Amino acid sequence: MMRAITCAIVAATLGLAGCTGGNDQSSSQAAQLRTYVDVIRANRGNRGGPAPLPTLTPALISQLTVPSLEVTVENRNTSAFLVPFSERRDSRPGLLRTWRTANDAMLVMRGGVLVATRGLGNDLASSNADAAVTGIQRRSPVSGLHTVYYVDGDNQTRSVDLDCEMRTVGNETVEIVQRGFPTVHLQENCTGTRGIITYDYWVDRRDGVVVQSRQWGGPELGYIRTRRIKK
Amino acid sequence: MPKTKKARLLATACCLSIGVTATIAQAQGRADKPKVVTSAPSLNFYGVPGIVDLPSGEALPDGNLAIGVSNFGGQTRTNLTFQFSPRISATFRYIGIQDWNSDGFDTYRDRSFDVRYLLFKESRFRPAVTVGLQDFAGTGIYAAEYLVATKNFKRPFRLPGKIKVTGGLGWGRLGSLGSIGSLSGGVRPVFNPNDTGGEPATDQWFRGPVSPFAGVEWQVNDRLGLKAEYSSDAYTAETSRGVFSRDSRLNFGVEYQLNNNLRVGGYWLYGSEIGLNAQFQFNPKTPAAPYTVSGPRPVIVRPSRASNPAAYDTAWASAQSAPVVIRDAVQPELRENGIRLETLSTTGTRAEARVSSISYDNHAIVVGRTARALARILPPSVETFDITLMNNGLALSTVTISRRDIETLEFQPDAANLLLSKAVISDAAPQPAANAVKVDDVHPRFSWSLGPYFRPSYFDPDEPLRYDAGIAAEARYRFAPGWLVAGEVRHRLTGTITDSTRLSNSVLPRVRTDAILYARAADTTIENLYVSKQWKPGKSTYARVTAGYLEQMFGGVSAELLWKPSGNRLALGVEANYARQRDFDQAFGFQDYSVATGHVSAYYEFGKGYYGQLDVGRYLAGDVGATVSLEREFENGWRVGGFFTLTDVSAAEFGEGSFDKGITLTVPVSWFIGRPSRQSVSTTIRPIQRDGGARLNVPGRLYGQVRDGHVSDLTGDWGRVWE
Repeated sequence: MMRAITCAIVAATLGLAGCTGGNDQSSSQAAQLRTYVDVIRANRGNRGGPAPLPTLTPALISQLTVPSLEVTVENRNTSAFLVPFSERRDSRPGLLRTWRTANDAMLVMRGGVLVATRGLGNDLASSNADAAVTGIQRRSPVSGLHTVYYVDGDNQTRSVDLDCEMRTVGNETVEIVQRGFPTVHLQENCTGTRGIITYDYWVDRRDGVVVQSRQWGGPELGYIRTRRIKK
Repeated sequence: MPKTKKARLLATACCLSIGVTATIAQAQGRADKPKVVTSAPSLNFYGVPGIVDLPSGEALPDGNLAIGVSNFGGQTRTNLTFQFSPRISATFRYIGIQDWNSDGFDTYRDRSFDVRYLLFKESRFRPAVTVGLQDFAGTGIYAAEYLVATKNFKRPFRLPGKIKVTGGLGWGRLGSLGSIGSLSGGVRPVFNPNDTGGEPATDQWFRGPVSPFAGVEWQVNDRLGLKAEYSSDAYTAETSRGVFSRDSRLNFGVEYQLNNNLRVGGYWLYGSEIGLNAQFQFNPKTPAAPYTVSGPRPVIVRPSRASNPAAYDTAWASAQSAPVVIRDAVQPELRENGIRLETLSTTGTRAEARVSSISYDNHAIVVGRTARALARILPPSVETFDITLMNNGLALSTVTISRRDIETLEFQPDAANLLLSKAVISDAAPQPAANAVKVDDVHPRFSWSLGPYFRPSYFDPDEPLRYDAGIAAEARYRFAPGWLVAGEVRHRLTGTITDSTRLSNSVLPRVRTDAILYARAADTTIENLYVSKQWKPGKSTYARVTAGYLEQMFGGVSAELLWKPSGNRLALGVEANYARQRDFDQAFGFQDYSVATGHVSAYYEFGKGYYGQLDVGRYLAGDVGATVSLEREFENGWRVGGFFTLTDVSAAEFGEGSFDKGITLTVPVSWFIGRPSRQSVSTTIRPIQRDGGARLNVPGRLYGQVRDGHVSDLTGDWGRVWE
C-alpha cells in the first residue's frame, strides 16, 4: 500500500511513469508507459555500450577452462566471448555446436560454418551450407549453393540464395593472442540477389578447426567475425 | 540544342529561381555524411506522393505510413496517408485556414479523405499512372480529381541523381485554372463551407472544367531534392476571402532528407508565399527496434530406440504419481521462458500441454519453446505433443507436433517452414482430457497499475486537440478460468475538454455527443467496473457474458457468441446488449435512457493480412443499420483500418459528417522496444463523433482474442518458432 501511495504522489507531481503489480501483466496506459520507461532506463544503463572486453593475454587464455570464441558483429561494432552451450549431430555433415554469451545470445556453427544465430535481433534463422562444411572438412575447396534464411521485421521467413565458388587463398599463419596457428585460408565467393558476399575461413591444417572466420549473417545482421580464443 | 547546353539551362533555371546553388555545392561536398534512405516518392503539401502542391503518379512503398505537415499562406494541413495495398492508398487530412473571416469562421477547419489508385506501375518505357480522388466526400474545400503520370530518369543529361517528370489532368480544384475544356460537361456544385458533407460526391467526380498541370523533381543526391511545378489550382475560395494572394502559377521548393524517415522542405508558392513541409514516412514492416528474444535452451535428442529399447518403455505412464512429477518439472521450465502451463495430460505416447503466454505476443514462440521443454523432460516413449494455446479460459487451437520433428529439424535449412509443413493446427477441445493435472498458480491471477492517463479529443473547431489527463488506478482479477473482474478509477488533474463550449446539438438520443458534460460533471470517475465470463460451448464456438459499468457512458449486460473454426476464413458472431446511459458524474448512477442494442457480425479474412467485417444490427441511439470495416494487419501486430456505418438516421438528423466513419490504428509495444510484450496501443479517429451509428464499447470482444491464436495468425508468426 505504501508503495502505491508513494508511486501515486511521484506520478502526480512529476508526471512520471506508473507503477504496476500483481502476478499478471496489465495493459493499461500506465502499465504501457511503465514498459517504455523501463526499456529507456535499461538502454540508458547500457549507453556506453557493453563493458569493454578484457585485454587478452596468453596468461589469461591459459586460465580458461572451456573453449572460447570471440565474436564481432561488424556493423554493430560489438564483440563478445562465447562458450559452448550444446553439441549435436543431425542428418547433415558437420558437428553442430551452439555457442552462447552470458545473456543468451547464441551462434550455431556447423563444422565451423555459421548456420544460425539466436537472441541477436535480425537473426539468421537457418542455413544450407553443406558445400562449405564439406570443403572445410576436406581442407580444400568445394563449391556449391549457400542459402541463408532470416526472419524479417514482419515475422516472415526470407531466403537469400547464394551461388558460391570456394578457392584456396593459400597457407597462412594466423596469430591469435601471440599464438600462431598454421592454417589454410579458404574463401567462398558468392553471388546472389544481394550482390557479392564473401566468406573467409582460416582452417587449422593440423586438426581442421576453423580458428578464424568472417561470415555473413544475412542482410540486416551483416558480417560476423569469429576468432577461436581457446580450442 | 546540344544535350549539355540544355542541361546547363535546366540546372541554371532551377538554381537561379530558388537560389540554392550554394546548397547544392555544399551537399555534394559533404560526401562523408552517412548515406540515408531517400524517401521515394516524396510528398506534396497534401501529404500524398507529389511535387509541391500537386500530386504525382507514383504510389508509396506497400504498407508505408506517411505523416505530412505543411504550411503556407496561413494554411496548415496535417495529413496521414496509408498505402493500404501496393496500388491503393488512403489519406486522412485535417486543415486549418487562418484569416478565413467568413461563413461564421475566423479560422476555417475541416477534415477530408483522399483515395488514390495506381493504374500502371512504372516500367522502362511507361510512366507510373495514378488516378486520385481528393477530398472525395461532400462538396469539400479540396475536392478535386486527377489522372497523373510520373516517369523517373536516372542521371539525366549526365547530371547527378535522378529526375522525375510529372504531368497530369485535374478536375475540380485542380481544373480551376487554365482549363482546356470539359469531358462530361456536367455542372459541379460549388464548395459550401457549412454543408454537412461527408457523403461520397459521386455526382461531381470528373465533372466540370479540366486543366493540365506539370512538375519536375530533381533528387540531386541521397539528401537534397529540388522541385518545380506549374499549378492548375486557382485557389478561388482562399483568394476571394483574402487568405492569400495568388500571383503566379509556378511553385518551387528545396527538400532535404534529414534521416531515413524525415524529410523537410522550404518552398516559394504562387509567387507570394513561403511554405514549409515536414514529411515523415515509415513502414510498419520495419520495427523501430529489431525483435529480439534471448536464445532458447537446446533440444535434447533421445537415444535411438535400437540403442536403448528400455528407455521407450511406457510403464511409467501407469504410475499414479507420473503426471504430477512431470508437471512439476515442466512448469518451472516454461515459466522461466515466459509461458504459463495451465494443464498437462500424458499417456505413454502422447502429451497435451495447455499453455498461455505471459510475455510473448508471438504465439509461434510459445509453441516452439513449449515443444522444446516437453522434448527435454518427457520420457522418451512420448512421441506426440499437443500444444494448446489458451487465452483467458479459451482454448484457441491445438498444435500437434511430432517429437521426432523437433529433434531432427531444428538446424535444417528453412527449419521453420519444414516444421510448419509437418505440424497440424486444429480446433482445440473446450476442456482438457479428464486425466489432466492442473497447475496451481494459474488462478487466481491479479494485476494492477497506477499511473497517468491521457484522453484525447480531436477536431473541436475552436481547438483541434483537447485532452484530459490525470491519474488512473486499474485492477484486474481472474479468480477462475474465463472469469474476470476488472475496474478502473480515474482522477483528472488537468484537461481542456471541459473548456469546450460546443455542447451537443444532436436531435438523436445523445448517446455519444455529451462527452463535454461527462468531462465537466466530476474529476474522480469510474471509467469501468465489470465482471465477465468467457468459455467455449463447443469445439469451434466461443461465448462471453459481461455485466457492469462497461464504458465511460454506458453500463449494462452484454452477451456474445462466436463461431470461428481455427482454419476458417469466415467467422460469424452475434452479440446482444442491454445498455443504460450512465450519469454524467460516472459514479454508480444511471440516467433514464436505455436501449437494447446488438449485432449480427460476419468476419472474413481475405488473406495477406486483409480482414473485413460486417456488423448488422441496432445501435445505441436505437438506429438500425450496418457497419463495414476493412483492416490490414501486419504479422508483427500493427493494424491499420477504416470503417463506416450507415443506419436509418438521415444525413440531416445525423448532423455534420452525414454518417459515422473513422480510422483505426493498433500499434504493438514490442515494435518500439524490440522485445516481447503483449501490450499494444489502439486508437480510433473519427472526423466527427455524432450519435448515429454508435456502438457500445464492450471490453473483451471475442473475435480479436480468438483470431490471434488461430491458423492464420499463428502461421504468420511461425518464422520465429525456433527462437
